[in-house]
Amino acid sequence: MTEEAGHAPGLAALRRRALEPVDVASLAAFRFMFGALMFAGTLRFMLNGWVERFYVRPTFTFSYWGFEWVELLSPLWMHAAFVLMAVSAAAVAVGLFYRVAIVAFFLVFTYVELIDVTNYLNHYVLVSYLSLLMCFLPLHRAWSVDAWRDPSLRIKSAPAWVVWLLRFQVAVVYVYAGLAKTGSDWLLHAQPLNIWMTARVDTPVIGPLLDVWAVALLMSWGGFLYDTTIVGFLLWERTRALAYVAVIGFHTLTGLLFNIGMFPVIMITVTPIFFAPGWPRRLLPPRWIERLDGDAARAWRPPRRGRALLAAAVAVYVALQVLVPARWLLYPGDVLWHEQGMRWAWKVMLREKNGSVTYRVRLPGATRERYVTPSRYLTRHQEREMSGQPDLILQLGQHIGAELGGEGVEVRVDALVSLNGRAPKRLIDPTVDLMTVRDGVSPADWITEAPDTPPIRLSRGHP
Amino acid sequence: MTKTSLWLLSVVLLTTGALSCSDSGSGAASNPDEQLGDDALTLRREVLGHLGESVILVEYRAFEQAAEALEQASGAWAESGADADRQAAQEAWRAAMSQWQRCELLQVGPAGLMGTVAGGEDLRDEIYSWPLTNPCRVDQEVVEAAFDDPTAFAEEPVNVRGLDALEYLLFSASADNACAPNSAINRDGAWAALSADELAGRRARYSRTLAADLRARAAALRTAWEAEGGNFLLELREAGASSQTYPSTQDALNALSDAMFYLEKETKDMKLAIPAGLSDACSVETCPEDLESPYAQHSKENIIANLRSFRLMLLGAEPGVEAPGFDDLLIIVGAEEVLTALVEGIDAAMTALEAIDGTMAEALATNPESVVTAYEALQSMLVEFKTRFIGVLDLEIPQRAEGDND
Repeated sequence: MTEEAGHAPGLAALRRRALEPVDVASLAAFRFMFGALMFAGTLRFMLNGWVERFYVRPTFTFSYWGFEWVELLSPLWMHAAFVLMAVSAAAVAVGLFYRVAIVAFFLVFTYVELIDVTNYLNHYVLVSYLSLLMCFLPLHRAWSVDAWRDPSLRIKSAPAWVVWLLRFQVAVVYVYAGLAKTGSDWLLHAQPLNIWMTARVDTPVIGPLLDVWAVALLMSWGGFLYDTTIVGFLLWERTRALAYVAVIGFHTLTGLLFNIGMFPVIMITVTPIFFAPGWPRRLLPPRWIERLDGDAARAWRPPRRGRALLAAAVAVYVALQVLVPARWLLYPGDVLWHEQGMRWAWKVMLREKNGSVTYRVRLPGATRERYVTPSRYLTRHQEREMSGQPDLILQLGQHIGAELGGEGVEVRVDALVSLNGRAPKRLIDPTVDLMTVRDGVSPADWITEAPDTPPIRLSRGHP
Repeated sequence: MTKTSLWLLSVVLLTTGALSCSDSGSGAASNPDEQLGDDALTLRREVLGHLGESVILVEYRAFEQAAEALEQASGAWAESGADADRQAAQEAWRAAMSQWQRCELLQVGPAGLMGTVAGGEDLRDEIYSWPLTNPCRVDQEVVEAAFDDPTAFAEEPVNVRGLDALEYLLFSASADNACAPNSAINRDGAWAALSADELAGRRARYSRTLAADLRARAAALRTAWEAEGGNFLLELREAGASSQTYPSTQDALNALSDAMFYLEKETKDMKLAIPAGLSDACSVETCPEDLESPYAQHSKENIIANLRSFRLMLLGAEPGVEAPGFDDLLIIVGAEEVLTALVEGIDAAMTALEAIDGTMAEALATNPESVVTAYEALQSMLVEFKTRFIGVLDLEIPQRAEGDND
């Protein structure tokens, strides 16, 4: 009787393939490239003065629901956190004290991202997820300082599922980013690309085309098709090389056109995981390979005692990765408007939202309302991000109410928002006292319905 | 290693390097230059060139002329000490202030805050430091009488110089000072020792020094833009080409729209909302003591000048005159509805402001609702500005952190 007894034939075959040993080289390369990129990215963040700007200067921060306990450290410790992040990323890259380093990186990076919702970026979430996975994977057992110092760590191969898991994580981003583009704003009206591209007419060579609406529509469809199909093309061996060239081309173009920071570099860096696991051996000189491999001959497998737990954990993780981004489907209305289910859902570059927010506060016994502007509490960056996101408008409103006395204070808001160039419309019911609203995961009745008009269409010569 | 592998690796490394180096700015491409020649780009350059040369520089020149007139009038008052000369100096101050209020919305480049505004050299604060005003400090300077040496006095802090200090000196005829009873000049009797004539004389001489300093600062600001001076005009006009300040035309347009945000934060939120008692910064019915230009009772005129300057930037010229402005950028991409909404909003706000009877202080005392109406009209127009105008032109709100996006 084989150990696959009791499993359905398809599942058994899948399990067998998942446990097949594959070359560890791509995992080692992934660790090195990820660590090096995180080191460079953290350094860039620090050298740009963004630690000060995003984590020292703000006097108020927006919490994630359920993570209200995450708070800013003192300026000194915030800077220290980034130094620790950079050092741990470098250690991950070279595989030095890997387990400690990757756990430290994951914890510090995720802590920093949880401090203030206005700093939310999809690629930060991807970094957190990947580094979480890396905490448990044997990425340091080859081509690392740890393996060089301790020969007992060295392995030649790892089970295929380790590579699959990383591929899955990257694939989730693309697939959901593609599905998110199925809305009419993107596919029918070419927004918000049309707005953004019209402002990029001084881009070399292609600039003169960017304020033509049809070009924006073409790029919208190109982006949609790219996101929804690229994983398939990367998985298929015959199209893989060409698909990776497309990855480079697509992310280079979007990186040059739009202010999306490290996102293109991260995607270009992580997608080689789709290549055959031995791909780094084809790029490096044989002498290097020999030195890096050393006497590694073992195949790594997780400890027998924990395998069931590990399998269950992987299954839960995969299920969450599939379900969490899809939760916006549970909310009625347009997610780009009410934003419920918008985060951790890979809704990348889908909206140009600009708002004007003024709070109206009535103190107990007062006969008239007073206006409070968000700029008293927020940096401009925070204000811009907050002004289109209802839960953040609610958070600041409740903070203002609490600061002005709490009990008996009424806070209402005039939040007028333009989504993808539409005429500004109220985002929040102006009659609702925000102090009586409890934020949560249920559909928010205090958010108004999305505008039913199409977005603006910009085009040279305006057809 | 195969040739294909090498080629692929090279592409990856080059691309990664290029992206890593290119994403810290606005998101627009790196410097475009002569290879470009698109209609939209040409229009952008025309708008930037026109707003720089025919709006900003013209307004700065007009202010310099007004500052020269103020220098002469203040000099005359210091020489004669006559009331008529003082009144003439007051009129010259009003003219200069009205003109400067138009320039308040043009804090682009050298006038802007160093470290915050691209090309900023803090020149605005040297001319007008409101809301950092301090009449008590001006009174202390009156007592110290160090103002007779204009060169040395030019190094004094901005809140004892400029249009704000001049306003206090020209319009406050009070024998009292603005300091607390326990301040040094009151404790040691230095203020009380000044006779009425001595006080008037010192204020006049102090005004003369400040007006001369103001004229010099106005000239410095204008020169910073002139071709024979700092030539900042070229920086704006050549955005995205040879400009060292603006890597793209989008960056330059952002700088201009940043300056226009003055109308929201300073004009609406500070000059109107606080005195009208709409802001929680005012805890009573109204707060006329928080009006701008309280001694000259010039607040309403200041606000109207701000709004006119905003309209000038939007249209590129006074209404009815065709000139390149932000309006043309909206029209060329088919966003006329945004332009129409803005122009109608400006007209409504202007009408509401002009409907305020008397001075702003008088209106707050007798008809505060008229001030609230003006605030609401301005707010309504600014909603359109902050949402669709900024959105459609993909501009950024001021001082936006240069972070990433996705």
